[in-house]
Amino acid sequence: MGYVAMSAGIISIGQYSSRGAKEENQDSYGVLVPSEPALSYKGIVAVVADGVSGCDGGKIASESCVKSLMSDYYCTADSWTVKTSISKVLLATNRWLHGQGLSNRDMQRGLATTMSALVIKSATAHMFHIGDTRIYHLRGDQFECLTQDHRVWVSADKNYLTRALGIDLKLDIDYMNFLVEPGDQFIFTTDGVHEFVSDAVMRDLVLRSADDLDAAARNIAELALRNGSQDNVSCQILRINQLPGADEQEVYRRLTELPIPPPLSPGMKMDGYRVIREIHASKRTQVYLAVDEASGEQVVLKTPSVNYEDDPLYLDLFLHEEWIGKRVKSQHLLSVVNQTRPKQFLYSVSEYVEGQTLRSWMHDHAVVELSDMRDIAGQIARGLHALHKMEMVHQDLKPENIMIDRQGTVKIIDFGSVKIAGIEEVATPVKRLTLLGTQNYTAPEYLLGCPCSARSDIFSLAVIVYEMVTGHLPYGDGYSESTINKLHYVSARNYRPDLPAWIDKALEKALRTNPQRRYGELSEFIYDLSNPNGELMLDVSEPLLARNPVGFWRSLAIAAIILNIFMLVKIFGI
Amino acid sequence: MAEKINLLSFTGNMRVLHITWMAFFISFAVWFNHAPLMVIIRDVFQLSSQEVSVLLILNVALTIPARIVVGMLVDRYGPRLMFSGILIASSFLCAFFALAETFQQLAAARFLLGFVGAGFVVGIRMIGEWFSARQAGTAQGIYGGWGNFGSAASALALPTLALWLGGDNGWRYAIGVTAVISLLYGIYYYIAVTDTPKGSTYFKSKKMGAMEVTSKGDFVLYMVMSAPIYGALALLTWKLSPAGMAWFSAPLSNAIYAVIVAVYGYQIFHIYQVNKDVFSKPVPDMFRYRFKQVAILDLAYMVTFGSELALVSMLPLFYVDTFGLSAVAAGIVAGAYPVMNLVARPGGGIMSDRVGRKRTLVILFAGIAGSFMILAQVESGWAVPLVVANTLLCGLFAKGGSGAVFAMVPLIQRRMTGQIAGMAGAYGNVGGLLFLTVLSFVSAPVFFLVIGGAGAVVLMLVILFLDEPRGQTAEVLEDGTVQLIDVA
Repeated sequence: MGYVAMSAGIISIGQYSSRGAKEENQDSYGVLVPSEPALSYKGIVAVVADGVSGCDGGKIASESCVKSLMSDYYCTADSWTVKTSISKVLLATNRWLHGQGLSNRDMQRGLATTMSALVIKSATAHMFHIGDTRIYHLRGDQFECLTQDHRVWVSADKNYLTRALGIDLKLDIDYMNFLVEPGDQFIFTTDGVHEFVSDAVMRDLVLRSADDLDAAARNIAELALRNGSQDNVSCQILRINQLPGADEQEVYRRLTELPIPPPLSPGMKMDGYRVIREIHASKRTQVYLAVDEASGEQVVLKTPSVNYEDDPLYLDLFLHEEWIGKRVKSQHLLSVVNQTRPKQFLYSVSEYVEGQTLRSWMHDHAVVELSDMRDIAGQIARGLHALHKMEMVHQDLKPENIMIDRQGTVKIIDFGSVKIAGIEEVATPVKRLTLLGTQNYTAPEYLLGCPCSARSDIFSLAVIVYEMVTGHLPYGDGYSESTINKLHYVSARNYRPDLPAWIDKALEKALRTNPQRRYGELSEFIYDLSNPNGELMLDVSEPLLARNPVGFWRSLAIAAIILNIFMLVKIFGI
Repeated sequence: MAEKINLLSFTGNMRVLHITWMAFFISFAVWFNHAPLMVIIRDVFQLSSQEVSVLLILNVALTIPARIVVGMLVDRYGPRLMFSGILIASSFLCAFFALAETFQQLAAARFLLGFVGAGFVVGIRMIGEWFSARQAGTAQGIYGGWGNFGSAASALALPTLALWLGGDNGWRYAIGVTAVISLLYGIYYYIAVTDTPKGSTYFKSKKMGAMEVTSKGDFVLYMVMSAPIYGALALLTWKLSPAGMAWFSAPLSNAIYAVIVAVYGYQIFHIYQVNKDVFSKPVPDMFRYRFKQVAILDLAYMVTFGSELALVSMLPLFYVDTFGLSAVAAGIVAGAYPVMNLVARPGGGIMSDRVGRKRTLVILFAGIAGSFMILAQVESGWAVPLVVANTLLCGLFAKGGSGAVFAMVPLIQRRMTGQIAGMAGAYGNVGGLLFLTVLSFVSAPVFFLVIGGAGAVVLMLVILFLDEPRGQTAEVLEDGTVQLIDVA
């Protein structure tokens, strides 16, 4: 059976399906063009699935596969990339199909289906494929098949499907992505069609009835039946009329939709919030303590600085901060207040965290107990983990961005530099910044312009932990692009001899300049801060020369001088 | 924390402001340390009036290209290193000037010292990093106003110092003192400040190339408005060429002309590179602005700041020559002129906020035109206090005008504030060079008349072409509610 849901004329669709010689049509297909904002964040989904005919539940299998792609996909996190989102949906579908097959003893071989799907997000098409359904790509008169049939031929007339959804718990899906252009057409077919219609004929049929894609799809499927197809026949054609996503003017208009509020003074009221005082003001933002007059609740208002009123890049980042706050919930991340009243101005509202920043906490605690360090690092890591789970990288972790409230709960408060994988996929005329972060806390790969990852946040967290226990920065004050290769880790035990060597080793690993050699997971780092890691300790007894080359050569030189003086005295008897 | 600026505070960003305006103050004192001593130097070296005027012109010439170079370097090295570097380097140039034995050496030192004037740009960047938008205007007013006062310090202190240290070489010691102060302060500055507040997020600075314009007409206007910056340098070359003072040989001056034209050509090419999109597709509304606003502010600043540079250079000599005052007395009365900066420049900004941008410029430029034309009537028979009062009136309007121009700069297109301010600043120096060149040909009264006339022309341009920038889109009601008001 087929599905169509459209909200805009950005694509044209043609569909046709018939059960052919079979009793039941086990093919499913569909196209979904959601409305905004899902269209921007998630894009268009088009899919074809062929229930494996050897199974009794072929129809259920193909239908549930198509349905989950067209509904569950749009429920995945907006911050996820297409690849992550679709993979998660397909993994869940696969597990369900596989489970159904096991529990339903009446059915002979469970539920299985092939699947070929296309997600068009922004200007990029992402293709996912398993089994022997096909997607063809027609650009101009260039016609090519994007998919590869997962079939094995055992003899000239006998072949088996080697891969499909629901066959095995282990899932292996083909993925590729490429840029699409307006005018591109995609033809989705099941094996009942493409085994009986040659590529060239299919292409000509599509080209011939360009203004009636339904007719083209019907012509292709009916030709397959005439050519002797005994299977279900389904054909779906998708033509891109214009790329999804707002045009340039629209993007800028949205950024400047709400004006930047004027400077606020105590007592001023804005959209039902009464300002109590200014907490902080910098070149980039103002932060005010305010009270929600309706609920009496204390909140924090953050307003963008007028310095950037016509800087699309800045406004884009500012809007994303609230976007992130609404999507990631954790006790260790600042929570954004869900505002019900309409906004007249551009600002964000968040909870008021009463307490101090980690920076001022460090000022108050000259010597930090290891138990306190573990507690704080663990809580920051939980906050970071919540972000990483959503495919976000904080990028600007520093003691100034971390609050400790009166109950000792640690919260990360600033999302102004967060990189969101799912958003990065959306093409925009606004040029995104490549380098963010704060000197001394930012991972070296930013300075080199290399792509950042969760490992970059681990580096920043490790700098903070190092600073907590020693009061010093691991690589000193201010390293730059040109000095990265010369960076040498200074053992934390230089500053704090009572620090266990295994904690120092964990810090060293988290602080490696090459991200590939750092911890891959936050949890491993946090675990190693509390538990001696034997692997890291193996090289603890490295010689003085390696640990402290300056010290080694200095002592050698001093020894040589003393020896020389001694010999002089001896020889000349001075 | 503070919402208002507390001038007596010496912590946090206020500390940076104080240390930075002091650095600018010292750089300005060094830049104009020759002016009050010119009378003595003229006698010692037996300089002709043409040679004196050339020294004055050379002092502001290098500043024009130096601003551009310093602007680029500050992107790369940060304001702390740049300001220290400028102060320390200038102390050596100062020493070179103090030790000069020939007119050629004097001239070379003065020419090189011109780059000290580019210090202004560096400090502005520093203030921008440390202050929120609400405070930035005031902080920059204090920085600019109090820093400019440095030339007054030179005028007031150096002649007395030279006399006190005594002898023919008194002036050398006086200049030497400014060199030592500059050196020590340069070192102190490096130790005392940081480029950004601790823990502030670092953003890779955008490439500062040519300015963006948003229509084809503006593109042409921008090309036209870029020319005078090079024209001023060509003018200087002409002045020193065989056609003028015959300092440069004909081939040398032709070579310099060629270089100036080539650089201008390169700039045009660059402007095209940055702006070629305006010829093919419409610019989003968000980015649109009118370049004529920039052009008028440039010309306005050329008159206000240009006249200040020129007057600071020539007033001491003017008093000595016209009224027969001693060098010390002339220094003191001439020093009164830049003192006006303390109140006039911030005052111009405040007036602009309260009365309206365009109206303020109209009032102040009417004042400039009128007061300079009166000054042009001065003869040796006038009472000195009356003349001094008149110059103070000129200063009040001119420096108020500078404040008003810079109050309007951020309202044209926020994103480009730095570039627009940079261009206006360059025009200020062009004005200085232009007026001093005029002075080398004419008598002081005609010179004043020219400034007054230029003020009148700008007044007409302001009245005819300047648009009041769009107002705030929000207003605060009586009960404290912030309301959106419709902008038609």
